[in-house]
Amino acid sequence: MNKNKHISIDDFTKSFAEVPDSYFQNLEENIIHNTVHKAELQEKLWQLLQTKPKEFGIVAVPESYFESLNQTILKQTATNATEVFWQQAKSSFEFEVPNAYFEQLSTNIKNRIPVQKQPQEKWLWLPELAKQPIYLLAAAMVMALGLAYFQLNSKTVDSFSASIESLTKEDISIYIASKSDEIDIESIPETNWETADAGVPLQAQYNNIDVNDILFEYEL
Amino acid sequence: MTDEEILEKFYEPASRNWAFHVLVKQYQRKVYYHIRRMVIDHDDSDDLVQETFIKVWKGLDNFHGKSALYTWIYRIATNECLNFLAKKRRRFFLPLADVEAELKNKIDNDTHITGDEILKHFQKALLTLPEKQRLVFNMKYFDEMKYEEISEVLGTSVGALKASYHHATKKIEDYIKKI
Repeated sequence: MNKNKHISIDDFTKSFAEVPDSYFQNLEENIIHNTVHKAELQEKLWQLLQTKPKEFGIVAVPESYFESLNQTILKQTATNATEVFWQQAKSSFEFEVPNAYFEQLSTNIKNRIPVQKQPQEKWLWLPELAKQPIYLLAAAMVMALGLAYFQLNSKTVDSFSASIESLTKEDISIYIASKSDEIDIESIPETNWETADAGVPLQAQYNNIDVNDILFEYEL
Repeated sequence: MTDEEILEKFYEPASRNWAFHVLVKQYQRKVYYHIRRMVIDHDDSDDLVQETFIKVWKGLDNFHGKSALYTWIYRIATNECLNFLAKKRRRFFLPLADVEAELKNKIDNDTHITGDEILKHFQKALLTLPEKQRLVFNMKYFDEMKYEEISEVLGTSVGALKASYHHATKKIEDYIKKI
């Protein structure tokens, strides 16, 4: 056959036309036959494998093989390997935490929440102390000193609670700067400066700084 | 029980403790896993989860509902994580890479972490991301949060978050391909 022979469109159409109609009539039948035939063969082979496995050198294949086989095939399918990876990663990697931990967690948190003392409990001991003159004198002195202290400062106790809401980044940065030995101000992410819905700046919350400490230093 | 119902009960003195208990039960797993993915170690996570909920307890009276309760709690948990990692570095004068190396070791040695080798590499790949990018990735990928919700938690624009997530996935893919 001459490889360089030029085949014209006409030749091609002609050759195509020469295919007998019977070929196309039988094509579908042939496909069905082959498929069924193959399926029958596979079924017979499978039965043979199950009844005479040793003859084929197959004793037992653990189920895990097929499980991992599926994964291996998935991983080796280059076209969607990335997608498979992302799907697998989400579901397969887990931090195993027993349910008992979560059942106990709520109680553990509850135990750590400081109990709010009732005002009357705070003052119960006073009548007892009042019977001792030395304590009475000491209490009077503390009260006098406290009064003098507040008089020296223009801010009142009321302004304390009001200013909790109005603390600014600058207030806190001044406070933190004064504690520079303890806190590295440069290392605090900018996002930490945002104001939380609780009304207390996050910076105060998340660096375990008591807002009352800040107020004490900058309001008094 | 909806967040609104929980809050309503919380503000009533008689049902305050009960409402808080319900709130903890409702969010404990989400908060725990959010923190655990950041600090890896269970004991550290346990401490931070408790700290988070104690702060929720203290701050809830002043929560005005400007954001969803869920994102508000997430914000507290997120800042707890960032603060914890920052403190860890300051305390031991460790550079960023050393802290991440320590966390990677925990992945190898923790018997309670499941997943085949490739998935452990995946977690290690996550540790190569900058903290904020890792947060964005975790919230988007594992918690399936919307960008708008993540934006409320981190205070970053949606556009920046999308870019951050894109960079994170590319970095992880590159890391895994090199193994």
